[in-house]
Amino acid sequence: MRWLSSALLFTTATLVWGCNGSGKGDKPSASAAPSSPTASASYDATQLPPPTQWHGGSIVHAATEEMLWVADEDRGKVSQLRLPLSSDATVTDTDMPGAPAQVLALADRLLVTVRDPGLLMIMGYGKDGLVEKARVPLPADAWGLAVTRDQKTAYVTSAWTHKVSAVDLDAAKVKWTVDVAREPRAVIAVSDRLYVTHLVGSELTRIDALDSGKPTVKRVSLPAAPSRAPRRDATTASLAYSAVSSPDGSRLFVPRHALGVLGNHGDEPTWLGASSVDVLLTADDSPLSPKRLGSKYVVTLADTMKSIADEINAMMYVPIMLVDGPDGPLPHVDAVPMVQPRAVAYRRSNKSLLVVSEGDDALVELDALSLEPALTVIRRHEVGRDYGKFVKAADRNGAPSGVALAADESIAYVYCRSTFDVVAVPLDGETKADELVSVRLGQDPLLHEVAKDDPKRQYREAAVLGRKLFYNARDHKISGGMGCAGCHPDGRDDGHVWHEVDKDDTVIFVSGHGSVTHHAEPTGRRRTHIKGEGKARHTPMLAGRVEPKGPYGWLGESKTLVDRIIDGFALHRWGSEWDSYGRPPLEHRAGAIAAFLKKMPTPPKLARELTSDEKRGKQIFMSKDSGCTSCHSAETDEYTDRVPMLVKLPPRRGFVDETAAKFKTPSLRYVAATPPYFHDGSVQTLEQLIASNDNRMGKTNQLSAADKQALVAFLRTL
Amino acid sequence: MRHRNIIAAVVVAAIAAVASQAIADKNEPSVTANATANASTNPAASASASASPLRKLDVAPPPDSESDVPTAAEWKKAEAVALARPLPKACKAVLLREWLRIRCHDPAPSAGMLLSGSRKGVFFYAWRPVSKAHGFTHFAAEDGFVEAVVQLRKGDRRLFQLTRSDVDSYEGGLFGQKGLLLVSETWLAGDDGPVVTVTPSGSPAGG
Repeated sequence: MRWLSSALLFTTATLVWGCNGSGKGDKPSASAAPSSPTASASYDATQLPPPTQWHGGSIVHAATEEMLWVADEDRGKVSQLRLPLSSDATVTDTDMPGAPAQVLALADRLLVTVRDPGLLMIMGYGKDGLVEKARVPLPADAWGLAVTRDQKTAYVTSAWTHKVSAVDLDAAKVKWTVDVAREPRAVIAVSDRLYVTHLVGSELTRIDALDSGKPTVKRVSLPAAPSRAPRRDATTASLAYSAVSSPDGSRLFVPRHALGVLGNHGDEPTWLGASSVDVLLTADDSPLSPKRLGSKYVVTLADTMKSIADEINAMMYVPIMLVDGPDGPLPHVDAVPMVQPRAVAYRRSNKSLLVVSEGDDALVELDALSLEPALTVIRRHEVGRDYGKFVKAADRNGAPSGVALAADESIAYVYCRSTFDVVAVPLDGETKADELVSVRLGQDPLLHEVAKDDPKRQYREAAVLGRKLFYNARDHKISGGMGCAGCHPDGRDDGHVWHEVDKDDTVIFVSGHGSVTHHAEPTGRRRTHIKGEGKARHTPMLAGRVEPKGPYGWLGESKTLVDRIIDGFALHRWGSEWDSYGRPPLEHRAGAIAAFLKKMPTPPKLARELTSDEKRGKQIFMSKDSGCTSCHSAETDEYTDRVPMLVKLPPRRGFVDETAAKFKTPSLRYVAATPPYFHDGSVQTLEQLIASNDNRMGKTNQLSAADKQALVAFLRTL
Repeated sequence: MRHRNIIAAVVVAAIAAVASQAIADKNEPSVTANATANASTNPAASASASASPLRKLDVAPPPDSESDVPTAAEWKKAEAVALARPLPKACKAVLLREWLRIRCHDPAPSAGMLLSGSRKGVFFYAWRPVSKAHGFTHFAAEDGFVEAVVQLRKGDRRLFQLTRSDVDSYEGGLFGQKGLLLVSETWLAGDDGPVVTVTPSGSPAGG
């Protein structure tokens, strides 16, 4: 009867594209005056064929022709590719006045968001290429894009400046702009409202009264990966770059990265969190998936079943089962079916979702009918190829970041950001990655105008490798399953506070308190052991903050940037195999990543005169009385002397006490857009930070409310 | 402890009820006694349920009623139904009144786990053939099966998983478990009928 002890029970033109664009098309000059608004309503847009999708993407299928449009952000171009795709396809480029983030192809116009300067470009299909019809200035970092069913209004998110704007496409004017939470990205129009996703946090933004002139903004709760949530701790999320609605608009699918979840993988836990697709029912803004039951009991049947087992034995069957585990039931599935979900398309013919997996160079098809689509993988298509012999980074089809479907939905076209490729993926077969038709849009701009004998060439080539590695989660010397871009999207930060814990003989990051406690005791088959609750470590922003020589790290513990990146290699994994890699291969990778980080676009910064309030704030900041500059040195535009100091923050619940620890003075560059603040993320706004400072940093108690407000206003300009 | 005893009693009662059912099902033609190896492979390669004339549960829903869980004798009259997606070859779904039974054969069936949703009207059973030799009881070589019996009601949102024993992780008197199938069941307002999908748990990526 010993075997009985193993039993467990319950427990989306008419016109006009001549389609022979010259390739170098009409370059929209940044200084050119906006041309007349589009077509001045000489047509009725509602009579035009609909677009293939009502929201933007980095790659979209044209509305009326067999053609793809690609927003190639890093090359600063919009590219056109004719279908069917062939490996020698002609790429027709149109330069943009800044980095294009998304395109949306209407029958008579191509809409393009431009990050910096923030613009909505309204392009016409000219005989020799795209022709600028109008450009609409928007808050900086214009990114996500959607259009109304009558094709008269476009909605645009501005990521860095956290705004959403409505644009009258006929008048080429902004109708309204509202403030929303950090890092808004995708915008989806459902019925008479908008849903907006964010790279930071699990909540969505809903905007109503779109035509009223006074739109209303509210937050919508959408728990991340509910069936894998700890019983006592909430999960959060990051990387919600994309969303898509079901054809009837009843469900909104949001692929993202869930943080603080549990995994059922024996000793391979979800240290990094887990990929998820969370579903919102738009009828009442409720999450589709109920919360995990998490009942905590184990029923042992060994004794009580004996007599029954004897009876059943007569017919050669026995019931074997017990329900639940000590942590309550958790799904036994691949917790990470995709890494860094970057874009999604809805495949109507199969009621499925196609999600591009940036980190591991794949396209994953998920069941849209499921309560939790990320747990139900229909098929996985590997797209990356030509991996290096030593460095596991794809030289072709690396870092998928956009997906568009063929008209018959038999092929998905995937734009791959780190290698500038577009690849065609047949969806109903199993085609090997090296057999996929792939087209390179152009050369990595990091190598532009740098001759092969140029002394800079070697450094630039390192940065090219660094670009590939930045998004890459496959090279095990870099991390245990997540790329740099997983926590530092666009080189920024995920707004998350990680737990830096001691595990066995190593120090690693774990995504949530529940994960930490889940692995705190060596129960059952779990052989790993986490000690303590971990130190609070808020993800730092990188872009624009990596020029200084050093030191780096919250404690200033890493002498140089390369040292810090190597230390990061060790922290971002579960195992301790990093110990055996040796320094040279790590330095090679870290050097490449550092070179790329220094070339990475920085967030937009509008050059302008300070307001009187900001000037007052600057006086306060620079004054000896406040003492701000004694640590936040104004001699560099980083505003830091990089010296570790006592901060004496009270211990934060769920983390170890570090009252006595000295933290390196953090950079104030871009500080306005990087909440929460401090290493433990305990302060949500700059206003709160100054109000609660109590002379902890410099002297602020003597400031009037107006002076504190002025100081905050100045900090926002940095 | 008292809680555990109650649960144990409930489980024992459930097992007793199913024991007779299992006996009755013994003569039911095996769906795929030898196809179990495919249960965890690509669902695209799964059964021909979509090509069959089976009643499609999501467009021809069961009655909106509440009845007792079918008896073994009643299950013999159950109607084979097609779910929202083709079932893995090793599985069969039948419907009786508002009760759905999903049974999947497997060499090492282990457990059913309700991950989220209402517990009411959900039963899991795993049965494995045994043989006796040298005075000891052993698992036999033939396949067993794991099944879920679920009462389908409007408003349902459930996620559950059927598992198999993981013989590679035996420790402390317990075999570990591996995911076999993940079942999603929803019947939302506005849906014609319940939408049930059965997906092999080991993803193509590995899992």
